[in-house]
Amino acid sequence: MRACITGKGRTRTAGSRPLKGVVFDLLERAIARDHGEDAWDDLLEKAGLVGAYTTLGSYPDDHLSRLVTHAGEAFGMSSEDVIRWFGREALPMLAASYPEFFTPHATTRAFLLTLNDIIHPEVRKVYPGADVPWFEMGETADGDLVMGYGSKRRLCSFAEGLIQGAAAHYAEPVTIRQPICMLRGDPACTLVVHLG
Amino acid sequence: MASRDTAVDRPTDVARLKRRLERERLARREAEAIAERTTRGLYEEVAARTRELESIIAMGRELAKALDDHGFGDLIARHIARAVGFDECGIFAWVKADDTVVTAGYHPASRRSALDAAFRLDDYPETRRVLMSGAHSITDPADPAADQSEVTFLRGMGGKLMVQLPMVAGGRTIGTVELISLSGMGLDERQIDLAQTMANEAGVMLENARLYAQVRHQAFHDHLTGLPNRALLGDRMEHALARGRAPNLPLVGLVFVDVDDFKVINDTYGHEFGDQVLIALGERLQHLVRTGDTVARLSGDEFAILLEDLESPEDAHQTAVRVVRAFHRPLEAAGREILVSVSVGVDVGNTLSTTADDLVRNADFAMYMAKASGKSQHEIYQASARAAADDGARIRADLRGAVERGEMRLHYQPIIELGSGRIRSFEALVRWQHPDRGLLPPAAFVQIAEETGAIIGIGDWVLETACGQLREWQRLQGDLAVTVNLSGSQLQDGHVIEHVAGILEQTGIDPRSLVLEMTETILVEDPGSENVLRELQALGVRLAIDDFGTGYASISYLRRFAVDVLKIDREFTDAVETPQGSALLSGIAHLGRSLGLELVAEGIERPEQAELVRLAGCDLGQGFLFARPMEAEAATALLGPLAKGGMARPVGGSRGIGPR
Repeated sequence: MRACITGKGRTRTAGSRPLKGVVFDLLERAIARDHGEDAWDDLLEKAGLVGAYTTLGSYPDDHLSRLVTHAGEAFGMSSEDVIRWFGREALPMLAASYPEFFTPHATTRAFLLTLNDIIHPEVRKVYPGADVPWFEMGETADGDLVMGYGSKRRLCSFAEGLIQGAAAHYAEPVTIRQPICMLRGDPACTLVVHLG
Repeated sequence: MASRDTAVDRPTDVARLKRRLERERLARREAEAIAERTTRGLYEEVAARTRELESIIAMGRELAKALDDHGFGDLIARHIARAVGFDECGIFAWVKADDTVVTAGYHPASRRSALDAAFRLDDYPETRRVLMSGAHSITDPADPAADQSEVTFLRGMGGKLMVQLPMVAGGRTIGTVELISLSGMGLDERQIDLAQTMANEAGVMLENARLYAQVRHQAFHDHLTGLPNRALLGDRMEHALARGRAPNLPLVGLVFVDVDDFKVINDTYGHEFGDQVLIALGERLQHLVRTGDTVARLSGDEFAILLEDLESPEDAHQTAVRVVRAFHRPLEAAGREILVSVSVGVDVGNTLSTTADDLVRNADFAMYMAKASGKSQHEIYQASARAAADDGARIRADLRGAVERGEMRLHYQPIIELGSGRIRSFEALVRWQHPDRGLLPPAAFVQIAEETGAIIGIGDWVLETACGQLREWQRLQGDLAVTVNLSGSQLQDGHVIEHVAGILEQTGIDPRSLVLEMTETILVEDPGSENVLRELQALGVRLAIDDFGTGYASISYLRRFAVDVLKIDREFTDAVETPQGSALLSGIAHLGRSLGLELVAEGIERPEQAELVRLAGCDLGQGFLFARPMEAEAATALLGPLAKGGMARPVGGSRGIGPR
């Protein structure tokens, strides 16, 4: 495995900058669609949040974790499952808004490999100050894509969901495993993406 | 605002509120989208501006470093072409006095030769318009109204669109920048603005470079006559003396010229006329010397001539005589003829014994001597000649026993197979590690050694050492040969035959791996050497002619002796890049090959020469490109890996072998 996930300098120290509003916007749309608008209102109330989010603003990380925790309780899911579900649902919305990042590619793998150099730089142009993660890209001996992730936000489940969503977009079966994971106390995460 | 209760009771109000909410949501999304697009646009704008600024800064930085560079114009052209994304760019400087623009630079530089050196503005009215108006112009051949001379020029360059911009520095237009697109791509206002900004930046830099060159010229030239001044003469003298490299120590001469009774001319005819006399005098001096020599005005009525690369001191003396005689004819100044005379002093020296200060002091002193012995005379500084003689006497004494004291050294320079880069042989070159003077080249002692007969002992030592070394080396490379130089005295002395025979027996080396090398001159000047050479050949050793082509055309010798190797003088290698030089070398090579000789080209310094020399028919080469002469240990290091066949570098690459 060539992946290097400890990251020499490129891995950002996440958490210092707040989350971009687009994340809350996507979450609201996903929940309203699958569980109804009232469900979103209920979540905001339970979490004690006003919820006036706009994509132009930035909001504290803990807003997301509070919403996710309450969503898990409400829907009978673990927080990680909620976040994974959210990633899966968010991806088609992103694909609808930004088709130019998807259409040049025929496969999930090709799409994922543009994350660091094309997609995330573009995100920073639209949302100045966006703290997007850096993935150390690698490959296993079997040819599976390895994505090293070390953000202090520990949103590896979100990444998993997005990857699943991307695979669905390109109509490819996918399995993702994390041999090491921050959520299990490891210093970083590696997402091993097996496609096909 | 409707209360919650009321809304629940009235479904139509709920629906209306939902619509209202949806409307607000849509408005928010649209506002967000607008803001996102604007942010992205601003980002691109800032990034583009940053790139533009970086282009300008990068150009400024590079130009500032290259202030004194001939490639200045090309550099500017490259920066502007790249910044605006155009294929080609020309920089043209306006020479108002000639009503022309001259080509000051082009990108790509390799295409510059496609351009004339200068363009008459009469032929290019559009360029004149740009220069006069300070406004840019676009030439599109598809436009029937386009200026046809520009269209012809553009087509000649293979371009489809051209933009000419004025280059303005300090409020004055000093030239044009011409951007050429091969694809027909146009420029938007933004790119034109950038190109214009860069053109003006470059204009200021060009102007600075011109001023710098002017100031430097003023610092090193005499204002009145335009001749080099004392500072530049000093610089050139230092350079001429420092250039001396063994074995050819060049002779440098300095001729001091002082006008006799110049004060009288000034007092009689006035300073202005005196100045005209000095100008005319400087011109006459310049006509007396070769192009490489320097005529300088040192002060008032004092001039000096620096003579470089003299064949002999006699040349300097001849120049002195010519200078004195040249003023037997009257000078013409301010429309009037006047007879002036000069007194001349000369000194000649070389790097071993002379400094620039010595030359000036001695020539000046000799000039005063000339003046003292009656005007219109020349005088030669004698002490140098005496010092040189003293030098010889000391060398002569020190040479006695130098071999026995172990002061002789051998350096080795490889002879390379040009096709494969493999080492064919080493030429053994003698050096003398003098206890006080350091390592001396053969030029410093061989002639004296010949005079005293010490050369026999040195020659024997060289043969023994080189053959012993060869035996060692042949363990690493069995077919290696060694080349040893023979002097005239060695050939006159039959002893060398016996000695070579003894060494061959003692070392057991194959006689054919010993090559004895001598100059053509020796063969021609000493017919008696013929028998010695035949006997040496009978031993089986091979014979080589050194510096072939410089002495006499001793082609008959090639036939009379079974010479095995011709070493073709570096003069022919130097000239190989000219058509005549290449033809000449091919001719010699053809001759040599038809006689079955091995051909070695000497003095190869650059990869292109190696390739051309090989194409001309020389299989072997020698020179700094491959290696300088080096000590035996360093030479051995070249053989190790080469013998294993791993490191041979065929000619054509840019790297030589061994220490540089």
